[in-house]
Amino acid sequence: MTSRLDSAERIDSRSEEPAPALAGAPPSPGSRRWYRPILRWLDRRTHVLLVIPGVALLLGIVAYPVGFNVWNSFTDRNLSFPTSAWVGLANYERVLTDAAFFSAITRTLVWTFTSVAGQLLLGFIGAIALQAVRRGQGPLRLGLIIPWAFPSIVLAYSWKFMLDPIVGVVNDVFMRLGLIDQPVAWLGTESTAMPAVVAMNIWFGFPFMMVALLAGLQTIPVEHYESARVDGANFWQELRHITLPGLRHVIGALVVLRSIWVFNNFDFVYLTTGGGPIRATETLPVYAFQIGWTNYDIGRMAAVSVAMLGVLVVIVAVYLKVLRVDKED
Amino acid sequence: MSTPANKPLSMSRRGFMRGVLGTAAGTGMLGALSACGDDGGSSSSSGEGDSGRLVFWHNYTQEARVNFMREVADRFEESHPGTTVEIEVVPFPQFPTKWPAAQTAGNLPDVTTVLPEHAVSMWQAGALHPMDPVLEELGGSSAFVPGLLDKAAAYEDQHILLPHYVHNRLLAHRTDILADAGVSLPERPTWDEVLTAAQATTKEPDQFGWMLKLSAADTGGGYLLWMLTHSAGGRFFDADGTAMLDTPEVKRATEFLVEIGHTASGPGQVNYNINDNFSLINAGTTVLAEVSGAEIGIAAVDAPDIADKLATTFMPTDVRPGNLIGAVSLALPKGKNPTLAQEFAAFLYAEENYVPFLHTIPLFMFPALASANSPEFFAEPTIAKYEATAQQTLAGVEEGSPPGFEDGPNPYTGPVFNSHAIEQMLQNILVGGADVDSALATANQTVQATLDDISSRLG
Repeated sequence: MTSRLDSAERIDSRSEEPAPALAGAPPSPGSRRWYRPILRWLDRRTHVLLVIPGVALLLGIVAYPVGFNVWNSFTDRNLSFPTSAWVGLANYERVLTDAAFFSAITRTLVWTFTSVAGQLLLGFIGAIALQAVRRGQGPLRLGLIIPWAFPSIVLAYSWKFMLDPIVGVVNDVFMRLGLIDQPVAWLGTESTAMPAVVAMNIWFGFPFMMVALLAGLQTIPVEHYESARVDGANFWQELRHITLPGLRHVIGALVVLRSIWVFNNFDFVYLTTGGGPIRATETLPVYAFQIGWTNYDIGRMAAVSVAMLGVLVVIVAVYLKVLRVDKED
Repeated sequence: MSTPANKPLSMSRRGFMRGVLGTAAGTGMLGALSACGDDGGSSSSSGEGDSGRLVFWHNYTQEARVNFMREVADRFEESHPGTTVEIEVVPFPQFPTKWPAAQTAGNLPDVTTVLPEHAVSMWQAGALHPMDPVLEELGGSSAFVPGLLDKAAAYEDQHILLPHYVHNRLLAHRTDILADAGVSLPERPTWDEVLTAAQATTKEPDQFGWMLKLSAADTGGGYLLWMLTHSAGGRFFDADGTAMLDTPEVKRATEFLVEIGHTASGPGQVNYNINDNFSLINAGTTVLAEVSGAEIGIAAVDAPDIADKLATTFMPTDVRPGNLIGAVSLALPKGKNPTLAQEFAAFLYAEENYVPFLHTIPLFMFPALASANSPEFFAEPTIAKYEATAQQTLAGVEEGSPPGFEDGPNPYTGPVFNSHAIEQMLQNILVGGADVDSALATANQTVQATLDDISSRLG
């Protein structure tokens, strides 16, 4: 009987042997010697060859655009003019001395953290509730994920219409409930514009969290809960000592992913408020868009996007650090 | 025992290379066979295959205009055997981001509709051929409405575009609501008359005299202030690229707009944009609105009851009417078929194509060609019904200019309006409580920085 290990060893040992000389080929002992070690090395590690196309593709579709963007950030490239020149750090200097850039960072952090926290909380509650449902879980899950399935432009305009100060249903309901005395321009007032778009984003994003967390919940063995109940644990104790530890990795991955997506989100904010009023909702992507696609100032926009990448790397690094500490604990 | 099902995968470096080389050779042969079978039709993207392929971008999204353009393209194909016209609808909001990407990829269309301010940017970037051969084919400058080419098309001693159709901004009003409030507007109302009418018809919380549209996501606020500034005899910047937002004319226009904003407009004014006009008028939320004939024409089809209650006047007059021309134009990007593109552009102005196209949505489009200002054009029922609106539009086209083009096309207009400095300034005053002087001073600095950027590039 031949085991897999035997076969693999045979393949390896066969490839270690020198290749037989081609019939009729003149002997050239010195000319082919230099690359023989490489070929032998590749013979032993064919998997490297298999990985090369993937790596090349990755470099082409990720590294090239990123590199091109970084290159642009050092030029005065403008789409309205045919030539561009190397300007060194001038774009970065201009961006870093623009107060609007730092305000945009602050707003982006507020937008990202409050949105992700709200989505996580609502998604978690939804997942716990849905797990307890014994009948019709499928249709319920489908119904709750509907917001995720709509195009953002449809959602943005629907919310804009619902929040309209004159014909919007939100004002009507709040006035009937006695929560407000007169219609509020939710998207047109400095103090309410950001909370309004965050609320909209939480509504949009929580189903994704909910479905992912529900899947995570279903991987926690039921026996853990049964043992805990035998020991007299209540709901909150189960939540703290079984559910949350069991979901730790899912939550970590979700928070990192959603943070990146929300941080880079452009369409919701732009379609509902255009970054206004008075820049109250101007996040970094909107700020970059205004520079690059309304003024065609690609060089400066590239500098902003490199700075965005820096901020995002810091956020993700902090998350990963926290998760690693949590894992070590 | 090893079976075929669980036999371990064994591949050597030589086997892998043989596989890769075999696949490459197979793909190459398939490609060669495919090329041999290609009939050189419209799907080809290079070389001989492009000789009869013409790509046309237009911004006409409505079904009637889309269908009509396809019919024109079909007729062109019939009259030019072997030619294929590929049409792509590119709405104007997408256009500023689409053409630079197409230029970078070497995929510019052969013919496109374009706004004058975008055409200047394209010209600066070396993306356009001049339209002079087409103009010559049409009979020279006299073929167009007098003065129109100087105001919208002539730049650096060339015609970089030709207007396809024109319209003028007017002030629409709901006659029923105005009558209920006991006010009326003459055909050329003054600022005071408009302010009085707007205030008299404001009934909060759901009816406003003149709901402003000052979103920073479009240029509606900038255009409105420009019209009022133009009416006051001022301008936003001069021909040398000096910002003029700190002049008395701009200040007076801003104060007028702020007065409207505080006393006759409503909450949400900083979120509305130009596209909200129709629903605001239709719902009776706004009594006055700056429109082109387009809104009346669309209302005549979609909401005839409302259309019956609409009338127009010129934009408010201070020392002159605040006319603003819209000139949707044709240009020739550096595509793959420049000669065919010239023929197609001229074909769009042909008698059998031009006036019928303007009639696809009556009152939306007015003739840029002088010869089309004819009884045939005005005989269309909707245009005949709203004859006053049509005449005001034609008068406005003669008197006015595109925004920022007081001295003709220039490289400053697009970036200044696109910077949204005006909308930000008006939001600062109306929502942020800033005073007019300081808000104008800040906006002036922003606009000057934009102008300086461009001037430095131009040398």
